[in-house]
Amino acid sequence: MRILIIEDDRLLRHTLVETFRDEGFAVDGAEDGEEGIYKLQQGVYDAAVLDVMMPKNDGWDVLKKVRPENYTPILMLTAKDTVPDRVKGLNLGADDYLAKPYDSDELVARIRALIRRSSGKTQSVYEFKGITLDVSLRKVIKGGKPVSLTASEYNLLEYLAIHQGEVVSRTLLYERLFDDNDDTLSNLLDVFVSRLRKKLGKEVITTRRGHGYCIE
Amino acid sequence: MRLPTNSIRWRLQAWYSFLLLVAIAGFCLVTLRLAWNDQAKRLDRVIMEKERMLIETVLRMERHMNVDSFRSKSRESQMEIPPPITTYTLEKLRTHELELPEEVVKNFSGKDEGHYFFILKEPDGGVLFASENAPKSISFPDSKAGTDMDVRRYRDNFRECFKGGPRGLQSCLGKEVTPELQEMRAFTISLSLAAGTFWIIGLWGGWWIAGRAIQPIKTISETADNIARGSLKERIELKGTDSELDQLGQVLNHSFDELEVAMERQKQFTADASHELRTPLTVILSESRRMLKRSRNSEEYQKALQACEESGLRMKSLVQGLLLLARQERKGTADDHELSDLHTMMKDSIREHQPLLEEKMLKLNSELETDVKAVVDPDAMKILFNNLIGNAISHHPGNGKIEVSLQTLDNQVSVEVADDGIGIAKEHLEKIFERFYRIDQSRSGDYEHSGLGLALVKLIAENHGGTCSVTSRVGEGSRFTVTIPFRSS
Repeated sequence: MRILIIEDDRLLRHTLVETFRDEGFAVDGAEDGEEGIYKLQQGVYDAAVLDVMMPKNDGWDVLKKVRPENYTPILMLTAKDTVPDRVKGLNLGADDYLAKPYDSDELVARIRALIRRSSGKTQSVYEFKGITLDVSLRKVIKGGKPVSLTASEYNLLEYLAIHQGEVVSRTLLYERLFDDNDDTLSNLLDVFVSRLRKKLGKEVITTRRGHGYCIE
Repeated sequence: MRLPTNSIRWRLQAWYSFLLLVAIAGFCLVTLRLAWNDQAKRLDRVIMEKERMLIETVLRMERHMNVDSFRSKSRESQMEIPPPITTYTLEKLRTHELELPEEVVKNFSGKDEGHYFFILKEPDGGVLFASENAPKSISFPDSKAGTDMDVRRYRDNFRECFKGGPRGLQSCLGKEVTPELQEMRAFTISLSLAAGTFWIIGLWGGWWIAGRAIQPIKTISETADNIARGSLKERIELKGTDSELDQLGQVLNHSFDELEVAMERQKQFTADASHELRTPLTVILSESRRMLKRSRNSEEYQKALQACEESGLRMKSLVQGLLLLARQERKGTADDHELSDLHTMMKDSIREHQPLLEEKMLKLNSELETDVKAVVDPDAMKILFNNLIGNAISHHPGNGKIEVSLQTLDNQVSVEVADDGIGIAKEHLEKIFERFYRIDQSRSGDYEHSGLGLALVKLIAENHGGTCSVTSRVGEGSRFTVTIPFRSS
């Protein structure tokens, strides 16, 4: 999962980015509205956290500029938490609203819920081919036993699980799993896929040559 | 407790009802009096009629008895007004030789309602001649000898007319007047009832008018009450009549407007303050929670602690700024003012900033008039100097100069701080004295600035009756000027 944090406050942006990284997200930051709009329009993010009070295009401007073409779920994170503010944000196309000071667990859970909803799913547990994947706990269970995965392996599996039945291209996977700071090479994807197959069984991930990967 | 006597409406009503009662009572008394008089006159006329009839009868009888002597006296006078009863007749009456005819006696007999009686009295008080129904004990009014007497009076149920001649002969002709008295009594009662009814109608009308007159006051107090309860948008409805109460309403509405603006400003300020505090608070909470989730290497801890410290410092400077602002706001004017040496204060402030100046390689030229003593709040002045100099240093990119001057001009103390730093763009110039306004809106640049420094400078200058202004050019620098009216005692 790759998300974008649009927040002008240096320290707050840092802690937000790190919080999501700790939770296994690929995270990018944008320090003002302009940069936020530019990055959002690339369309590589699964969700975005948006501050309201910012120089060079505030949160409202960002929403006005990127909607309706852009479908990225956006959570407004702001100190402005009066009802009219919330209503304004939601009407302009925000998907959720959280007031500062927020609870980081709640924030992460809400972002996860936004991503899940945007992919058309209603639950946080995915089951396929005898494997259970719990997104909220970041746990994979096979045959009643937990399977230990690295963060990158898990992220790859989670992304494919959420988009179960779809063929996900290598480019898309690369975009969604690694942020701008990551210098992981794209051919490492194959390495992660083969490791996952080793741990979970060969039939779990199918390769579609020239197209990408898929959990059927 | 709220007594009805405290209410204007009640007092108006009480006075009004009292006056109305006096007026109605006065009117009724006069009416009654006139009615009584009128009735008495009517009765008297009737009684006189009877008296005339009686006397005429007596005279006629006298004429019959003494036709010759009468005729020889005067033929002409016979046809005119009956002459007074002669001594001869009197004599006849005394000896009861004169008998009144039946039809006359009938008029003065019986004790029925409305009967008549008559008494003729001798000068010595003895009854000369009386009708058989005349009351036995009847006191005649006193009369001076030699004068005519004419008295009319009510006695019990009788109306009596007394007449007396100069010779001392007195007559009394009376009428029993029970029906007339009853009529009068009935009239009095109906008049009182009517008066009472009018009074009550008047009272009701008065109450209504008083209520109407007071209605605007009620509206005003209700509106004020609602405003006190928190609905600040409410206003007193004006009738546009420009009456006294309308004018009061206008004045109050104006006050409410100002109150609302002040409250709005206060609300906005509180919202801004809490907004400003939320961000660093969020950082501290988020970072500490993140660190506590699992163990990390010391570098990560250090980074997180740095972020927390920075946020803490930011909160500290905000809280300090807010506290100073609140204190300055509460102070208003002249409370803690004392004669202070502004020259020394400015020198101290410059000295305190020396390390920062050196750090940024800035040269500070000061042009301070010596012996500038004025009555000011010394603590506030110190904040003002520190904020002006501190701002000039912290917003300066480095390697330049700052000029500070202190002088007295036309009864004014003028403080100027100028720098050759980055300057301020025109669109920001008006706003930089607003609370929480930062030119660099992204807080990343100057994390320890609360955005309250210049607001404080402005407030302090205003508390001293002075002004502050700024001129600036982007790239060339800014010049802040504070002038305060000079008070030496």
